[in-house]
Parts: sequence; C-alpha cells; structure tokens
Amino acid sequence: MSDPNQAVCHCPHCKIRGLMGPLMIITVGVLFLIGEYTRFSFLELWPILLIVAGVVLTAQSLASKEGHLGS
Amino acid sequence: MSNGGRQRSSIFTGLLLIVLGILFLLARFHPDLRIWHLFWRFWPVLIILWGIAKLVDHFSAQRAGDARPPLLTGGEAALLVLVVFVLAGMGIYTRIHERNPDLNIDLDVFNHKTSQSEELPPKAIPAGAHVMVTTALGSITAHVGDGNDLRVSVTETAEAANESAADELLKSLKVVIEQTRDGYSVHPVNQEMETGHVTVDFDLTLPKSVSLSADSHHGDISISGLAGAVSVTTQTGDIEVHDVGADVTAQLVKGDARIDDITGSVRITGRGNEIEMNDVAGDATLQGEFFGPVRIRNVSKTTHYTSQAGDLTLAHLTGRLELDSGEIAVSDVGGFAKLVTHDKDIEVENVAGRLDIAGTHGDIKVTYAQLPREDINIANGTGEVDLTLPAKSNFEISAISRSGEIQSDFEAPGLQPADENGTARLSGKIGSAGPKISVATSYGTIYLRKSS
Repeated sequence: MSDPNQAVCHCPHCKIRGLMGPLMIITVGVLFLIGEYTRFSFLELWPILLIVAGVVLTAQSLASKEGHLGS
Repeated sequence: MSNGGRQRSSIFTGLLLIVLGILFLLARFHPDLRIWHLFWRFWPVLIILWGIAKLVDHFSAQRAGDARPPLLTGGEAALLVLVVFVLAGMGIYTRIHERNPDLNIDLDVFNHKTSQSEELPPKAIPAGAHVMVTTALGSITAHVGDGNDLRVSVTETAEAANESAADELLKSLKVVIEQTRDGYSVHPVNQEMETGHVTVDFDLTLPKSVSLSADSHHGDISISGLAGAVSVTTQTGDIEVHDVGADVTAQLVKGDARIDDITGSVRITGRGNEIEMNDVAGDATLQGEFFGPVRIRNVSKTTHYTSQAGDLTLAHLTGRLELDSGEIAVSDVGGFAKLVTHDKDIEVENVAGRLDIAGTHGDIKVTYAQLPREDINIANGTGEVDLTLPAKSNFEISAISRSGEIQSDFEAPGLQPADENGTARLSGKIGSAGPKISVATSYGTIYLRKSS
C-alpha cells in the first residue's frame, strides 16, 4: 500500500485523491458542530459524508492522470 | 496508464455514493415522500446509472489512451455488497425505531456528574394565578396538591469536565420563584456556563386552579390535574398532559406527545414523532409534520390536522383517527368529514355527516355500517375506490373511472353502466330518494359493494 512513488506523484488524479482524507475529517467536524448548535443532529446529517466522498471520488476519476508516477 | 496496465477508477463509485447520500437525507427530512418505497420501485435506475458511468469511463479511457476499464472492479463489487447491507440495516433500523422511538445515541464530552436536590420554601399564590416554569435542560413534572401553595422541588445535576468544575457549577446555580407582571416565574439562574451545564429537573405541586406554562429546551414535560389552561413547549423531549380542565397548547420539535382527558381544546404544533390524543371535550388541532403514528380518539368538537401530507377535518370524532407514513384510517365520525391528501391510502368507516375525500395517489376504502344519510364525494387522482354500503341503502350514484372499470353489487332498473373509450361510468338511482354519491378516479377500479 505505502508505495514511496505515490507520495511524489503530482498528477491531478493523485492530488484530488489526497484531498479525500482531510475533506472527510473536516466534514465530520463541521457536522458535529452543526449537530451541537442547531436543531439538526449528526445522526440526521451523516449522509452528507457519503455525498462529499462521492463528489471527491467522481472528481478523482474524471481528473486526468497525465504525468502519473508509479504503477 | 497505457503501458502500466493500471486503469483509472470508475466514476460509478462516486456517483453511487452521491445518490445514496441524497436518498438518505431525503428519507430523513421528507419522510412523507416514502423514499425507500420509491427506491424499491425504481432500483433498476441504479443499473442504468452503472451503464452510463461505464460509458463515460470508456470514452474518457479512450481519450486518454488508457486500457479499457473492466465492467465491475473488486472495489465496486465490495461497495455494492456494502450498500445492500446498509439498506438492509436501514430497513431493520426503521422497524426497530418504529417500535422504540426513544432510541437515542448520546455523544457527550462532559462526563463528570454531581447532583443535589433542594426544596424551595412553599409560596402561597392566589387562586387562578399563572405560573411559568422554564428550564434549558431538564424535565418538568407538575401535579396538583392541597391548599394554595406553590411547592417546587428541584434536582440539579451538573456536568463538567472534572469534579471540582461540576461542584462550582452547582454552587453558582440558583433556582428562583419570581413574581412577574402576569404571575409567577420559576426558573434557574446560571444554568449554562462556559465550564459546563446543569440539568435542572423540576417537580411542581400546584393549587388546582392555576394555569401553567412549562418550557424545557431539552427534557420531558408531564402535567396532570390542573383546572387552568396549560401551555407546553419543548425542543427535544416528550410531552404528557392528563386531566386538564381548560385549553392545552403544546409545541414540540423532536419527541412524542400524549394528551388525555381535556375539558377544553387541544392544539399541538411543530414537528415530532408519535402523537396520541384521547377524550377531548373541545376542538383538537394538530398542525405540523409528525412522523407518526398519530392516533386521535374521541374528540367532541372538530378535529383538524394540517400537514404537508394533507388536510383533515372531522366533526365530532367518536371513534378514532390514525395516521402513519402510508395510511390514514378514520372511523366513526358523528358529523361531517373532509379529507384531502396526497400519496396516502385512506380508510374511512361510518361517517354520519357529509363525506368529502380528495386523494391524488392512493387507494380509498369507505365502509358504512348504517344507511348513508348525507352526500358522499370521493375524488381520487389515480387508484382504487372501494365503497361498501348496507344492502338496503337508497342513494343516487354518479361514478366515473377514466381508463378503469366499475364493478357494482347494486342493481336497479334506473342504474346505467356505460363504457366508452376506456372510460367507465355508472349513474342512476338505487331505491327511493337518498343522498348523492359521486366517485371519480383514473386508472383504478371503483367497487360498489353491499355489506353482508
């Protein structure tokens, strides 16, 4: 899994792929905040996580792999 | 890459996640849309989506000169299996939730709790006074005692990051009874601090004659026995009101409400889950979105329910009104009944007054045990209409089913069935003068039955 080449690849595909983790974490944080301070609860809003993951995955697969390093 | 043999990932996975996310959100916030119902009907759309996604993959692979992606990669197959499991889980969860709506998962960072109880000195208040009790967090229970005293007993539970902070919170908290312009106000001071919060549970004993407003932002409210008007507000929590001699109003956002034995009128507004109302001497008004089930029994004056799902008005409900996500059932109405809905099945039994039903998509079933005395008017968009009347009924029928058919157990010389261009009609008189019955639908059968 931890391919040293992967870390240095700068093609658009891999750049967007790298966004997945941070974006998911940010979304989780935002959802908990919303759950705490509005009448919506996290348990109602979690599907937004699926949507964010879906958007990132779609963007990733549509992005070009030009200049992709590694296999 | 063209030479690496590694294919780009398909857009199917991403699209599937987006669709599922939207479905889950819609199912939560618009339960009346019956998303899962629609999903089970239209799931093949997922296959179409799969095909379109593969087409897009194919063209983008061609453009980039990559190898053609396979129809279903291991990851996608795993995701599909997961989705099936999640959907099955959702189904089971909905079932469980319908049975135990109180299931709640609490994520709380404050875990040091300290608690104490106190009894405020009793305060004599004039007969018929208005009492207002407020807590941001905590339950309110109110009942009637002897004499003219307002007795307040409080349980305070502080939650903070550590024990000393919790003790501090309890020390700074104070519960007061204040005389205001229009009555008495019972409320805590310093309930919400930066270091944590205190749950303040009230147990009030009141003179019978008072009127009461109870407001808990987060907590259950239970009130019984008062002769004065009762007004209840909660954001999260259940409401129970019994045996009140005047009007009751309740406002809720999350939670259930149960209201019994009210001599005045009842009005419930907001959003919530289960609603139960029994034995109301005045009007019963329900306004808002309640995921249900909603059960109303025995209302002497008018029952009125307004929501996105429809608009129901029943005069003198001696039987019951029951609503859940897919169905409305009404039985034994002493006066008129008017039901307007979309997308729900309707079952009506025994209406003494005029009956008006307007539905858009759903089956309508109407049964009379006694001879109908007043007009019956049923207009359905699409769906079946099933009308059962006693064999000896006298009435004047006018029924029409566009692209459907009409089946009648009643036969009379004056009755004329007709069928032209797929539109079935039945009109005429059964017996001597009787009420007018008109029924209209499209793409559904109209059954006119004799009760045995």
